[in-house]
Amino acid sequence: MEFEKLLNELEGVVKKLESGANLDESIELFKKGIGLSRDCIANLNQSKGRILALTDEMNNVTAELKLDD
Amino acid sequence: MESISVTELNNIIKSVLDLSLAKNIAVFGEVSGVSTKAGHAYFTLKDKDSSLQCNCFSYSRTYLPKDGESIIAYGAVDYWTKGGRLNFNVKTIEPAGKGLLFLEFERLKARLSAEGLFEAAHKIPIPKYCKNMLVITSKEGAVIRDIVTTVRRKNPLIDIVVKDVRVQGAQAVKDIVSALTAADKLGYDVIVVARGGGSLEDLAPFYDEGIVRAVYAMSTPVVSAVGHETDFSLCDFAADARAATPTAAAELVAYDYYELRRKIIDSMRRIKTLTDYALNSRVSAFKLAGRQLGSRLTERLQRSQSRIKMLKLRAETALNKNADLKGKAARLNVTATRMTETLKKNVSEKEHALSKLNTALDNLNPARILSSGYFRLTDGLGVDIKGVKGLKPGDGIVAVGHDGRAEATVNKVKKGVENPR
Repeated sequence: MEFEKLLNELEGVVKKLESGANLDESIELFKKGIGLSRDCIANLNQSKGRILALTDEMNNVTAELKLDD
Repeated sequence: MESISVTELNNIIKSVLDLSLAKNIAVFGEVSGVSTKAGHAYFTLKDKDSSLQCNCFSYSRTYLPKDGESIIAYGAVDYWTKGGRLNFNVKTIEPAGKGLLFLEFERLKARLSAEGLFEAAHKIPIPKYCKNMLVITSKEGAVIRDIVTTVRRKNPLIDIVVKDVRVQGAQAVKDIVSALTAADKLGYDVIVVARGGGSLEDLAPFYDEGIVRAVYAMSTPVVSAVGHETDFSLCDFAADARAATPTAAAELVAYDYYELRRKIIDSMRRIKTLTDYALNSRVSAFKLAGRQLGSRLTERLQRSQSRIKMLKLRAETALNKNADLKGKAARLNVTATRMTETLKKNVSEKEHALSKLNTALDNLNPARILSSGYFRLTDGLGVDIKGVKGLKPGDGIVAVGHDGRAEATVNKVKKGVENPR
């Protein structure tokens, strides 16, 4: 799932939590929130890895052009 | 009228004669009045209408004619100014029959000339660089040797083929004509018909109409070299070129190989020098252009490289900005914190409410009431006494406190509520 959607969902959970749910609901929401946070972080790390890989690839391509001589 | 001296007139006559008459004339006539004095001969040459006074100095070199003999006298007209007389100075005398022969030749020459056999337009140029030559002559004698020697002196390459023919006598014409006709088909570059000098009779075959026509009909260039320098044969007139002697014919036909070789070598050197120069100048121009091109290319390459670098940087920056991993992480962090805080808050709110309730509950705890000095009253049966109603003096009651119980008896009952303070 897109990071923004996950984050929006997490914010929805937090808003619900803030609007004063009962304890059991709160715990359930918090649990759901932890899951969404984990997904968000996984998504973020994945993006980070992809960006690093792409930047590396870009460096390789430009190295082939012998840009730095 | 102005008069001139005799000497002047004679000088004029002499100069006019010198100008207008050839130095070498052949005159045919009959000799008369021959006298000799100190090695010189004097005689008159005449035909039926005219006579000519002749002197022949040192006649022993030629031929002394007799009175009444027909001769051909070769020589020049001379005007003796001192005596005012015209003489024919004879150099060579040829006797009798030859004169007739000569006349015959002259008539034939005139006829063939009128027919156009000697015309320059018909003549084929002699090739400048011939590779081979056929010499039609006698194998005997000096002629062929002279030709070979002369050709070889100039040129070691030309093939010299000799066709041996009789050049004198009755068979000579037949030999030469058939040699010419056969040779014309063999593709020689040039054919030389040669014969050494001799008397008019000796040279007679070369005055033959058959030979003249054969030479005329040739499609191969023919050089005629018959006799010595003064001898002109009809063959000479018909040929494409005439050489005074066989040696001269060889000179004419053979190109100078050594001279040509030297010229070619010189030309090749010049060509090499010129082409080297042309090549070198073009090579330098090319190198220069190459260097200019190279520096322009390098410049463009460097510009392109920096553009690529810039674009790369912009792309990376834009990617990082769009990705905004830090911002997202921060947002996630904030949200997670909010979530945690909210949960904590919710829990603590609940705890607080619970604690308030506990306190309230605690306040309601009978033990706590007893401990603040209150007692619970029951009757003897342990039933709670809620008021004074039903009590009467003397009733036994039990007071339960937080630390024990006391049994008491009611003394007095009074209804109505009093302020405890």
